[in-house]
Amino acid sequence: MQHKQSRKTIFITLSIVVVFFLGWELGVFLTGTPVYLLPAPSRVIQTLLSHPDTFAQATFLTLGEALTGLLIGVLAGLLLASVLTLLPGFEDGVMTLAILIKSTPMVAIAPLLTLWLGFGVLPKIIITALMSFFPVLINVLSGMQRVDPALHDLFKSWNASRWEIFRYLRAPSAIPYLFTALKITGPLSLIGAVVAEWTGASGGLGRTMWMAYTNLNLPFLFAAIFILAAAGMIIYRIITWSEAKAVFWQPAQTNS
Amino acid sequence: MQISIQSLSHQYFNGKTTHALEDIHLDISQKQFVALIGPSGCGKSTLIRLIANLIAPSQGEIRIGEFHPKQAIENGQVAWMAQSPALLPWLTVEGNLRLAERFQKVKNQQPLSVEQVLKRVGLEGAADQHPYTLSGGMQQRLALARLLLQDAPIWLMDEPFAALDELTRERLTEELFSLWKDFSPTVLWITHNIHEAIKLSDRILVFSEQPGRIVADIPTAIPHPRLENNPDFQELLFRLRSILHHDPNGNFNHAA
Repeated sequence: MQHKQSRKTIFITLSIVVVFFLGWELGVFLTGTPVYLLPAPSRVIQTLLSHPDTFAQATFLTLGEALTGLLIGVLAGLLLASVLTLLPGFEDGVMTLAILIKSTPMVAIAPLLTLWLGFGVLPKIIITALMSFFPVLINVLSGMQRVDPALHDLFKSWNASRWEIFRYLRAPSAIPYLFTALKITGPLSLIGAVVAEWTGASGGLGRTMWMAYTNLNLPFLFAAIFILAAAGMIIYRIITWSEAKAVFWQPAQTNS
Repeated sequence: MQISIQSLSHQYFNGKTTHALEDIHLDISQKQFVALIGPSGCGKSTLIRLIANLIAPSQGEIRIGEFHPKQAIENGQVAWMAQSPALLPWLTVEGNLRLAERFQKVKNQQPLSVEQVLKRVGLEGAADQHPYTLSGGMQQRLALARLLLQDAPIWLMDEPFAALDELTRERLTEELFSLWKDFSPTVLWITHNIHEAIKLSDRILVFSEQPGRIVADIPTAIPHPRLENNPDFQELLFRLRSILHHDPNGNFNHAA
């Protein structure tokens, strides 16, 4: 049943995608839209295939920045959530600071970091890490705090220490919340890296997009967008797949 | 006296003051099976939670042997079980018991092993399963196994089988009685089922509506097995019903 359902879903998804691109292709063809305004998908794919090395290098760089930043942001979020769970007295102060960082537009910080740290990968990693950090902190913290009261009472009746309750109850309870955060921050990390690259970079998909835009080379611009969209989807799929493996005790979310 | 309670009162403060318990005096001797009955919200759970040191009393004193509840918990004198089986969903049946074993306090008696308790509650075949694959009844069996593993002389049971279907509840109640006969702990057992209270317990404490007071303290000396067609059974049933239904204001003060 489950299998049939998922095959049906895949079929519907593919159909929607195919219809979308066919409509786009046909629309461009029928209206005679010039390529510097909107290239047809076929033209974009063609561009992609004729410059494999350029796009591969850019993708590799941007993906590297995004995933490194993501990793750092996730680790920092996990660490801080754990510290605040174990030392709840610090929560208000630290959260105020965290919200301050969250409220600062990254678009405003990115050029500053580029100014201070140059055109290398470091400013991109920092931006991505800053963007990833907050959702992980918030979600994991609430996961660690909102444990099943009956389980908490049980550990208390065992005379478990604060650390033991954290180790055996709070930390595992937060795993589903971590995945909720990852589903937000995973695809977002690419955006972080690209936006940071716009403010000045020596390579990457963001730089490719920026250069293509200034030259009105729209097939190139769209090629980069296609790659980003595909990479974002793949990252999201990897996260949901890992979630199903890691959080095996919770039934999968379905709409049916 | 194993459990001795003097002038105990408890209030909750959340916006307004709720008087949960008022002026409780109670002595419970070793190996007694005591049933606590009374209307919902009459403070039975509060009393159990106070003895388990999950909350601290507003006024009055609780002694468990020579100890305060806190020390009794530290010494592993008290085991607690609630309506929710409170199992860790990411651990297997055996994993849940191994974790409880980790918190087992070393006492004079030879404690039971994980294998022994699994066998005792009839879950030896399910050791590698995860709790979500078990029925509600099996989950409570596992919670019972975990209680046994704690090897505590006092069992505090807060409506442990109330969420189960009739048949399963009857079976588990019989199981509890057989465990009590074999391990002779002191049991404080909250139940809504007057029949079960009469069938199992040595003593029935009837609580009034909020604020909870003990309005009747009734020893049950009917020989086992206690069948419902026994006239003594019927008489006691009638008596308890009339106390619960006709006098909610607690005028029966200690009318044993």
